Amino acid sequence: MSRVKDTNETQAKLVAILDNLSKEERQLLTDVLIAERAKLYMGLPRGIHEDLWRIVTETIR
Amino acid sequence: MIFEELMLKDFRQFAGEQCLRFATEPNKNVTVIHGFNGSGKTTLLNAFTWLLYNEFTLDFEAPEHLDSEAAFSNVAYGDSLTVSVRAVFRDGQRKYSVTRTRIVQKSTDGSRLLVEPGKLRLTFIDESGETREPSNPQDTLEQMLPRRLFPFFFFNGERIERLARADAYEEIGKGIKTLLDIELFDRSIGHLEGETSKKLRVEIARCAGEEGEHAREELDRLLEAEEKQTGRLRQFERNRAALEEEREAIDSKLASMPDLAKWQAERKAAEEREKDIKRQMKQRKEELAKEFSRSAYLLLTPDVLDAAKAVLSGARQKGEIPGPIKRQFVEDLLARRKCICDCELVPDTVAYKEVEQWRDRAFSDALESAVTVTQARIESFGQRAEECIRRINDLQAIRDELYSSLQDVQEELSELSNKIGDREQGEDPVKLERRRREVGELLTTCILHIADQKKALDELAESIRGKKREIDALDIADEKGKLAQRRLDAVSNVIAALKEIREVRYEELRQDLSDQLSDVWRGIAVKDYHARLDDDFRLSLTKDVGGQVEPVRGASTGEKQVLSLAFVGALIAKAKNTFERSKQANHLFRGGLYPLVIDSPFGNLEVEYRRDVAKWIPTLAPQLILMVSESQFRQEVEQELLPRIGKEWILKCETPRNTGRDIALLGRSYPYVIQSMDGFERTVFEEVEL
Repeated sequence: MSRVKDTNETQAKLVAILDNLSKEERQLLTDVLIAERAKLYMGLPRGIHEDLWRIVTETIR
Repeated sequence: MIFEELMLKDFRQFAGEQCLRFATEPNKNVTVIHGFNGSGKTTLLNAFTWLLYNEFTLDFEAPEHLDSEAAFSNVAYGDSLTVSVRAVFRDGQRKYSVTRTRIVQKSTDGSRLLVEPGKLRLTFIDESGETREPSNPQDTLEQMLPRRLFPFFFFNGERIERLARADAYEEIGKGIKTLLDIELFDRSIGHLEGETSKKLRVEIARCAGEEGEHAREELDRLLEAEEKQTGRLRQFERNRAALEEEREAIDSKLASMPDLAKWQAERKAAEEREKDIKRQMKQRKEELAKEFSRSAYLLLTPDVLDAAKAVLSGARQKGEIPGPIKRQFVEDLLARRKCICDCELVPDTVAYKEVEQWRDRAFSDALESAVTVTQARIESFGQRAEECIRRINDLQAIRDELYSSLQDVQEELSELSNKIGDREQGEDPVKLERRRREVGELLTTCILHIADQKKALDELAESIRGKKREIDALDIADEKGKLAQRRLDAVSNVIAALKEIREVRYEELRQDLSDQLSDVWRGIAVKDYHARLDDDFRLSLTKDVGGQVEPVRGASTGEKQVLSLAFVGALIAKAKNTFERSKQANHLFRGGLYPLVIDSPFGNLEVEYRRDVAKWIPTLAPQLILMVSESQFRQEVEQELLPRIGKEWILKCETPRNTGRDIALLGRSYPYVIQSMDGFERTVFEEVEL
């Protein structure tokens, strides 16, 4: 029961953190996580800096 | 990732083409594979690791020879033999088929020539029902089950205790971080803070002229120093883990030696007594200090009191005290000019002068009262001084007694240390004992270095923050610079949010895993030990010693195995739970369903532990594949696993020797070891009827 409560509390904290971001910042965060997840299996994720630069420049214009 | 089938073709003792099907239902998620020693249980485990990662477990011998001897013997000179392992599994909504193939050619002299070491092919059916083949199958596979995690899912139960070693924290930390998405956040934060922010700051600095350029160079220098400092800190942390591991290994060795175990226990008890005596001595010392500060002046008063007593006594002897007549009485006579003998007292007469002399000899009331008080105080001071001396003497006596006990204990410790050190058998206990002391000193030094490095890192981090603030505040004039500044602001906000999310997730995970580990352990532990995962991801057993929580030194291999299994179970259960929640909208973490494939899961465990492990492991892992020998699959294990078994197989072992034997399962008898007809050893899968 306490674990369920903890998980719900965690979820509420995460929502509050995301709500503090602007719309484009939320988009930036989501896209960064998707790009990183796609290369997470690599010890040294080749090309990740280019991927992130592209995401930043395309999201914040 | 849930395995449905595993097909082997001429892989080691599995000659020909053979297929195993696994239990996949949530409530019937256990597959048990029975095998005699040498029938291929470890080979099966390595079929999984070779197929998925082209890797082998440490206990797998001669990994260069994967082909079946029986099959290779039938290959004509110059022809080739194809060895392969194929698995069908589900991951999410997709069904995959993965095959690794090795081709070995038989040269004219009969030797093996490796033509193809291990080609991987992966196909899957996508959501629309179409078959697809990714161009990079290894990468696709490792996205589903990262390589560094395979030791958590495919392992030999007899060697899993390594996770409970002090130096395994790095492996455990990486496992948790990778499996439960912390690494995803660490990498995102690292990359955004590093290259991306750096590039944006360069743009801003470029637009802010010389001042900006200078600030950027300073920042680069600080970042470089931080990287070096972090490297040094990591090295010290690794050293500490290695030293802790070594000390535990020494303790285990010393504990395992006959007699030494007893002496070790005696030493432990004596060390506790020594600690207790020192604590009491400290307490007595404080009481003595308090007594001195409150009453020590009384110790200096006896001489003064004796002198006062002598004065008063002399005066009494002379008849000066108590006063023979009151001064007031004499003054009244002089004032009335009449003596007590009714004689007239006229000034300047002899009679008047006589009475006047009595006035000078008489005591005043104040003096009379002072003499009385002084007499009383002299008595009281005397008593208090005696009381103080008695208390100090008592405390000193206790302290002396404690000091003497301390000497006794220290002599006992020295004697025990000599006994442990002088023992000459097996590994040299003298060296072990000496090394234990050295390791203790090195550890203290190492811990001090770590604290210094952390402090230096904190200072550097503060300087870096300051420099970044300086760059962010630079006056940017043109549009390009303003855009770069806006991007940097957005990236900084995202980094801050990622850090907050990471912290929330990390704390939840650590606490949750530690609680679950503790629950599992409490349910099965025979001894009154507690299991925990500390802030540094160290798996540890602790116990309560006189109200103090202390680590268990020299825990047994079996205890460490159970602790490690409990940890792996908790980890997989958490990943499963995260996966189930990830279907909710906006869920940032993915988790996953991971199988557990264990060779000899109950290897060194006592009956009680076997029963409990068999009970809880199927409830934590979504799929469990166990390779067991007859002795490992004992009654208590079978009873607990039976309701969860969905598939059961026998590795029927064919051997050239005539040593046939059967195995009885669920009331039926199956051939277990049979004689081979062609002189080769091979193993055949046979399904048990459930």
